[in-house]
Amino acid sequence: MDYVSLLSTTVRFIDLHDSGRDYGGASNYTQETRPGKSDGVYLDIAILIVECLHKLDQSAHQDYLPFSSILSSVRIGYPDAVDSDVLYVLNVLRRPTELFYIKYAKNDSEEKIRQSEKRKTAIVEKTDYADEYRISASGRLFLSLANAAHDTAYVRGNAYNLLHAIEWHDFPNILTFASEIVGQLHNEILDVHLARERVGRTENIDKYIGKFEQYRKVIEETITIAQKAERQLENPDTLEAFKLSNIDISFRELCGSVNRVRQALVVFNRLISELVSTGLQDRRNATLPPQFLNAAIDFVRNPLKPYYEDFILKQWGAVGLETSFHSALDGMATIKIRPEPEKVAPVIFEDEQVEPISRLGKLHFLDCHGKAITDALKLGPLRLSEAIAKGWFMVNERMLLGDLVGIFVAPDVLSVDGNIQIHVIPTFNNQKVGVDDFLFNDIEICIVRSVR
Amino acid sequence: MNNSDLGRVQAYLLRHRYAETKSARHNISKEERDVATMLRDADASMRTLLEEIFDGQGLELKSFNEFEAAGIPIGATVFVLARKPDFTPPFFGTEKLITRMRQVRRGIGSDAEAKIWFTQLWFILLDLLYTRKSRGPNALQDWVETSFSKNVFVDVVKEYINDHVRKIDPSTLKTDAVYKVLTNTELKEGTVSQLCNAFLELMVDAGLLDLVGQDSYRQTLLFAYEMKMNYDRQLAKLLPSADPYLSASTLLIVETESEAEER
Repeated sequence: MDYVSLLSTTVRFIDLHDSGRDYGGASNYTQETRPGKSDGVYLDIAILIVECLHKLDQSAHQDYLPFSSILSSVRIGYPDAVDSDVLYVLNVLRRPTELFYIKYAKNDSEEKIRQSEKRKTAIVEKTDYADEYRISASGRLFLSLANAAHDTAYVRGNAYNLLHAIEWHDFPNILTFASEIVGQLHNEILDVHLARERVGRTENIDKYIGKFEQYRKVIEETITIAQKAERQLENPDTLEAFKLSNIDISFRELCGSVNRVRQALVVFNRLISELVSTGLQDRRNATLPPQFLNAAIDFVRNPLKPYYEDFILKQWGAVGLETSFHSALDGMATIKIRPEPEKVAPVIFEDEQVEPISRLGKLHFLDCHGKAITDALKLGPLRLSEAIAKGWFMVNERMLLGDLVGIFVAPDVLSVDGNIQIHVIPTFNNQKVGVDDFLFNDIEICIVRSVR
Repeated sequence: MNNSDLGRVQAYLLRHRYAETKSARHNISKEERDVATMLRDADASMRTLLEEIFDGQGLELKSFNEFEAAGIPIGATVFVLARKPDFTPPFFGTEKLITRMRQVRRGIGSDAEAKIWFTQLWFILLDLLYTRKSRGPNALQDWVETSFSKNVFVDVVKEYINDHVRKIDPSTLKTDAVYKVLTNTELKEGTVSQLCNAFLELMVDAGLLDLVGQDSYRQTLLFAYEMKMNYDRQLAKLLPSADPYLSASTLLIVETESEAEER
């Protein structure tokens, strides 16, 4: 069980979780301490316990194991193990720890929610009233993560997952599986490239040489599976199912992702063949990187001949085209032309235009209702609400309510003897005209004559 | 790709020598994306025709996808126009290089001095990118790990002049042409910085270095590829031969993990 990989990949996150650094503090802040015995014994006992509980879990699902059985399992590896030590490890394994982390709200990704989790850190569970233990759900997850196959030698299984996802029209998972395979192969391909460039034999080369036949067989079979997956994707049934699904990608994109799996496999296959043949023939010789600084100093002592200097500059230097390409657009916007400001013509009022506008507005209104309003006013005070009620705001089927109000606020246009007084009624008036409601403060006008 | 596109692609590559369909590190211009996409989608006959034209000009058109080199985004293709080792492209010249280096006031008085400075700075850059990283010239994949800041480069150059060049006894030199240029008393405090600036600017303009952040540079895939392809045939022969006993003794000493960490 490769639990060390899991441990080493999580320990940095634990450090960050436990960090006491203030926000905005020094970037080289460090708090990391790894106290302890540095012998790995407790860890080993913990793994023995987890393995022993896991065996039980596989044979009798979710059953508990007494402490005495756990102790005897541990004593196979550590004959001198004391009860208290094993109990201590068990206590640590079943201890819940509160972990704080941030989750993003599902509907609004901007919203961050701080969450904490306590129980799920316990690897082992204990019965309440007896000394019996079993592996917890987190413990099972730990085992599956520690045992996960990371080697390309197991890529065939992932390709089968992809094929099954296509057969079952599970489109989101097709993308996931395809990108997982390509991602895994991509990294291995770049590692192979790197191994080919490295001087001498490297661990990478030895790995591929040792398992070359296995790799070759697995990759060839996986290519066949990938081809089958591509054919399955081209099946009309698959296309029909895709049309019915509401996945947010195009069918072409989906085909492309599956196609990339085969491409990556072909590249990987070719590269490891080349790598292994180079490695087996031992063609590569260990050479040191050139001492370029020594070369520079040497050229101070023994300057390069002008021919060689020119050669170095032209072959290696930051050279450019001797003559740049010219285009009709080269000079565009080089010379800025300031446009003549547009002259703004002064505003001229023309009397001929003023007259007809007046005729159209106020005078039309007065022609129509001026006399009636004047007559009513001569009889006594006149309110705006009364004028509205009498329909004096309509002129030739056009509503000129503004003009009527205009008369009430500027009644001088009415030809009456004497002064006209305007009263604004403080109460709010609500008047219904047809289907509309008019809300306003009523205005009252009346003629004021001086009494001698 | 028709003949007109062919011309457009050729013109772009001769100027920039680098085109990528998409980049994870920086924004690419519409022109670059168009050119790279046209090249990627070109039919084989047109692509061969273009490659033959470049071949006649002493250049090699090389493409990389995500499976061929590190640092290339998924689904992207990078095209580089590398100089072939056997003959230098006749239309590529050093005119721009000399003009820019001579713009540094009180540092360079002639074309010859500009060339000396550039060559020296170039070897110091190679020391930074290869020797100090224990990286062989054929290491292409490591190009993504070559970032360095301008300050680091300037410090390395100053260290080189003070600790190596100035310690040479001028009386032991057959000719002090290079020595005099590098130890010129008129060089002021900021002149070396300005020369480094000009050098880095030229390297970025030629597609050999990439400006990856503020004052932060990285070797381009083009540079790494030219080094890989041309070093043995062209540069190795010009370098002074290394002490064979030194290399043998260094190979026998294996650096332990703890030593590497301390370093």
